[in-house]
Amino acid sequence: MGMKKLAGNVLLTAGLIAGSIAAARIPPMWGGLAASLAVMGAGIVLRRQGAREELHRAAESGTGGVGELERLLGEAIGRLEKILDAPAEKAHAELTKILEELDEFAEKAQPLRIEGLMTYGKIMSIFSRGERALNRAWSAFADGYEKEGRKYLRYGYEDLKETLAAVRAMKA
Amino acid sequence: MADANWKRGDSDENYREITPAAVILGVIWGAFMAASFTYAGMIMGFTSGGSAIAAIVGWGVLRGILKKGTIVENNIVQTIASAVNISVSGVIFTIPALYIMGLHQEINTAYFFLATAAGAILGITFIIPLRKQMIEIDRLRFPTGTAVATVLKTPGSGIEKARLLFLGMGISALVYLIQQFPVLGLPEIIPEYIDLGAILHLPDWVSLAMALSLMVFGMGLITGRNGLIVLAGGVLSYYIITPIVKSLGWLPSDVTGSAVSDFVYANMTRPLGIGMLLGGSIAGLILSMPVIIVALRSIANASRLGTGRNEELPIKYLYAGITLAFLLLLVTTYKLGNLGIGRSLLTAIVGVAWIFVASLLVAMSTGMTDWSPVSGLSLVSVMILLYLTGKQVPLTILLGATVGVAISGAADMMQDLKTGHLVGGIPSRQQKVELLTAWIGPIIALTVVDLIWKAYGIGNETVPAPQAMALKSMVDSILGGNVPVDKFIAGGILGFALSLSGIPGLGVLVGLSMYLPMLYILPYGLGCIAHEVVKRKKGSEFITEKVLPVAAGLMVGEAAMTLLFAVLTVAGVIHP
Repeated sequence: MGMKKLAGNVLLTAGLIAGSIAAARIPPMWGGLAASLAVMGAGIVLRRQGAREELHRAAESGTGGVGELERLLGEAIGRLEKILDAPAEKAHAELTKILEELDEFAEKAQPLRIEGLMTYGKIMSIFSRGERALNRAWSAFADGYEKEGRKYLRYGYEDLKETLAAVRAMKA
Repeated sequence: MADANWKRGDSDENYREITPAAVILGVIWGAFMAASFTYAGMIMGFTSGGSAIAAIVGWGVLRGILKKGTIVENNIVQTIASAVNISVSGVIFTIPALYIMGLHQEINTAYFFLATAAGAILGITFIIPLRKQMIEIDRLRFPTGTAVATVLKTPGSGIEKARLLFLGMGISALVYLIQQFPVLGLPEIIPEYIDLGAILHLPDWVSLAMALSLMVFGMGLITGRNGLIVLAGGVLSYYIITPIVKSLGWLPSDVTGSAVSDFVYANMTRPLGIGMLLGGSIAGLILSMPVIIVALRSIANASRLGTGRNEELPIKYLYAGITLAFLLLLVTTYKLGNLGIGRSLLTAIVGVAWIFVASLLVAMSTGMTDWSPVSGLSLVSVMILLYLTGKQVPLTILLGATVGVAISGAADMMQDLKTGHLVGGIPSRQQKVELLTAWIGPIIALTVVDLIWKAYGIGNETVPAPQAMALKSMVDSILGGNVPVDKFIAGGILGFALSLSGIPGLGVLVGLSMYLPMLYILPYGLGCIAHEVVKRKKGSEFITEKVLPVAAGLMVGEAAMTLLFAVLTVAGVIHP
């Protein structure tokens, strides 16, 4: 964790503790609460700046950010291509693993909020639609409804490709 | 859960999802749970969602008896059953208070049905845009929804996961059963909680008791990191604020010993927590506005495109639901309150807006932690409504029931939609069946309340109705001007500030931790710690493959036992 984010967290926590104690008194100590809010405010500013810098550092080093998301999606799409026409049981088994790995994409995409909520919302909306389609394909294969399974496997594949395009657009 | 004679689907068949069997089974099982939990809730003071039990019963009937059934079809069964059952908590918290106060005859039965049905519809329609935001974009955990998905997916997940699920269920059910031995007239072997403070010889005012609930531990085990904030907030509330407040001499002189912790909780931290919950959720709403706009646009576009793959409930349902519920509230307020059209309009508008904020709050809380702060929200609802209705108690409680049904329905719907996401259910189908059946629950709950009134009375030794008694004291307290509004405002400011930190939902999480008793925060926090430790040592895959099925089992086993004890109470076998 960067120093800025750490300092932000410390100020935020200290402000919260002091503010809660001031507010707990009957009646509340409004002056104490205002001072605590000022400390919290400083902590919030530092924390948000630190988080943004952390995201950019991760993107530059290749351990996070848009490049990493692109890689994760690319791998999942490649693995899905291999099972689009594979026997149902193999597709089902492989889907189990792909779905677990897609969780990693979702987790690593969270910091993108800082770059803009609208863009983040759009990317996750398409990604989640694809994830749900793949979940449905998993269920259909497990229940023995192969036609439904293949239909939603393809939907999920198309949605992940659309997500990848949205991620690349963000990079551009 | 799977049956050897079960017939696998054929590749050319349509995938079974909404079927007559699923709808009928969902309604019947939901009605059974609603009646049982209404009765048991008024005697013992607890209710339960019942989604997981409905999923198990669904497998038993769809595959065990009918020899067919799919994962998404069973998802419809549990969605309907829990929708019918969930309104129980909204009804029994409020309506019996009218009976206790002798005010129930002032309201025509039709209004009871209309107002609570309005609540059921509003709670579901408000979830339409929030589903995309919380499940797809914020990806909240919804531990119960995740646990139910594990139950639904068990037949296709392999023998190992099924074994772990049953292991968790068995242990949890057995422990709960043994804990209830005194109720059954047997000796106590495992207590319901242990007082660690007494064991460690800590001062009386240190509250360090822990509920021995494997269900709560399982909730924490599924929640993980978010729950650690709740644990930290609990530590702040009980082990930092309480001793400092005591040492500063801010307590009345007659509050000593173990009463210190209770006093600080009731008069200081709990109202602060409710304020933080509200402030945090309002900030969350403002900050999430761009995402909600994306969600609404995406739903509206999906409606307009008319493609073969339109899986969102069209936006017109949201508008129609809000309009219908608004009209029902307006008519109820105008006819019952004699408030005039202007004030009735204001009450209906504020009522609808408040239900939206409260629905958002419970959905966020349950999504992040599985806890639903319904009683705290009811306090705020009653406060707002008493003011709006010119302190007309019968109308306030009736509208309070509307809010209660709506917010409990919203939280339940979101859990079911999370389950649906994880098994690949189509959201619009789940929402449609829920809209078509949710109104049944309030009618069952209201009918059972009336039958109990005629048979035994309410608010006596036979039927203590603890939640309604709490509401009655709340109303008395508000009418007496004893509302900690300053704490709500101070907490609201702190919660609002916390939610600006960049940590999603921080204000709501800290508020929740101040609102919850430490008794449950401790086992929940232990579950969260266990999740994080295992994740670091064994990785995320181990969590999904091994921990999740056991945790789901722990939740389901105890939930099944609570239903069993509710049925035993209804049957008169036990009477605590």
